[in-house]
This record gives sequence, structure tokens and C-alpha cells, in this order.
Amino acid sequence: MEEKNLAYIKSELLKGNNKCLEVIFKDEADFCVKNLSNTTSCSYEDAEDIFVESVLNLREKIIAGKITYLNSVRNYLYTTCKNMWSERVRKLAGTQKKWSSIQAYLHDEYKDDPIVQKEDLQETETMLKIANEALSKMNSKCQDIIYYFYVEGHSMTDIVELMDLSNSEVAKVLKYRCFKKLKNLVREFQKAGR
Amino acid sequence: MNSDKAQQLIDDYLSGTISAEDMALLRQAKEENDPVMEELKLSKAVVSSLRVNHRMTLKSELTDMLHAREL
Repeated sequence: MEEKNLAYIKSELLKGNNKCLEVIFKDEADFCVKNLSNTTSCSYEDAEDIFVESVLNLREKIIAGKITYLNSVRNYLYTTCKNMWSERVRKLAGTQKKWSSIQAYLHDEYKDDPIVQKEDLQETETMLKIANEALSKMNSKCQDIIYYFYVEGHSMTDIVELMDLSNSEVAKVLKYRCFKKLKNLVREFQKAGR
Repeated sequence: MNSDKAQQLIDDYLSGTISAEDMALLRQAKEENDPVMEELKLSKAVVSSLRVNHRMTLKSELTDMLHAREL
């Protein structure tokens, strides 16, 4: 995919428009899903699930600016799909239990973390509900900056532009205050036993 | 460690942009059970939860796109 097309996709994704990814599903899904299910022991349903995950992975990398050019989107996605399938097979070896997406995502969040391990946090699953609830209680500006910085990983420069702020210092102060407020709300919810 | 420095460390840590020098500070804080660790654990749990929730929502949206192409 040409550089200008990826730049267009990035600008649309930054605006929150995921519809720009439809073309990837139309052009690449059949190839990747059929080949993965035909050449490995992966079922068709699992292959579809993995293909969606590979597009999610590509989306994150485009937003973070880690990918600005691709010779072939198809090759990139198919290679990612094969790697993801191998990883799933490895993870499932020795266990009959199928991981849910939530468990897999939580695992990804904590794997390779040298400071905080998932075992350090008893309340991770409960936190999934509390964190969303606390965020929903905040004003839209706070919700936006937390979402852009901590969830989507946008740069401060992008955030200044997206939120129409005067400069990155203003953005930093806003981020600091909003995140502090969010954590205080989470603490309140925890104390209230939600 | 003052609260501004602690917040900066936590933000850099959560966004994966922490320097080797600051990472050493965090490792030291972990060994010494510095109060910043409690703040870091809560921050990590909150941010990870928001990311997981967001990814689940996105995945559902993209799965709809996948199936829509078949219509």
C-alpha cells in the first residue's frame, strides 16, 4: 500500500473513522482466511478471528506511526495471521481451555512487563468494569485526552491538533489532571465495593 | 520522588517510551517498596482495562466489517 494511502488511513483513524479499513476487509480477508484455514489446522472461524486481530494489530501500528509504508498489505497481514496462529497453538499446548479474547488481551498487556505482573493485581477483571464506569463519569474533554493518550497511544502533537488545544504543555496539564481524577474515581468505586 | 516526576515516570512507562535511566529508577522503587509502585500498579490496571475494553469494542466493529463483505 502506497505511503499516501497509509497516510490517508492514518488521518481517518485519528479522526475515529474505522470505516476506512473496509477496503482491507474487501481485498484481503478471503485470501488470508482461506489460506490460513487450508494450510494449517486452524478452523475457518478461528481464521476469521485471527484475521480481525491482524487488522487490529495493523491499525495500532499505523496510528502509532510504526508503519508508514507497506509493499504488500496482503503479505503483511498473512504473515501476521500465521504468526498469531503459531502463538495460539503454543499457548494452548498443554491446556484444553480456550482463552477468551479478554484473557488473551489481558495477558498481552502484562507479558514482558518487567515491573508490574498480572499476579500483582488481584482485581484486574473487576477493574475492567470499574475503569469504564469511572471514565464515563468524566467530562468529554477528559474522556478524549485519556482515550487518545493512554488507550490509542497518540502523540502529544496529534492530541493538540485533534483536541484543538493551544500547545503540548496545555495538553500535558490536562492529561495529568484528568488521569489523576480518573484514578481517584476508581479508588472511590473500589471503596464502595462496586 | 516528587509527584511530578512520579507521574512522568508512570506516563512514560505506560506509553512504552521510558528511558533506560528512568527504568532503573522504577526497578529501584520496586525493590524499596516505594509508594510510587502502588500508584504505578493502579495506573497500569486502569489503563490496561481501558485498552482491553477498547480493543473488545473495536474487534466487534471490525468483525461486523468482515461479515459485511460477504453480503
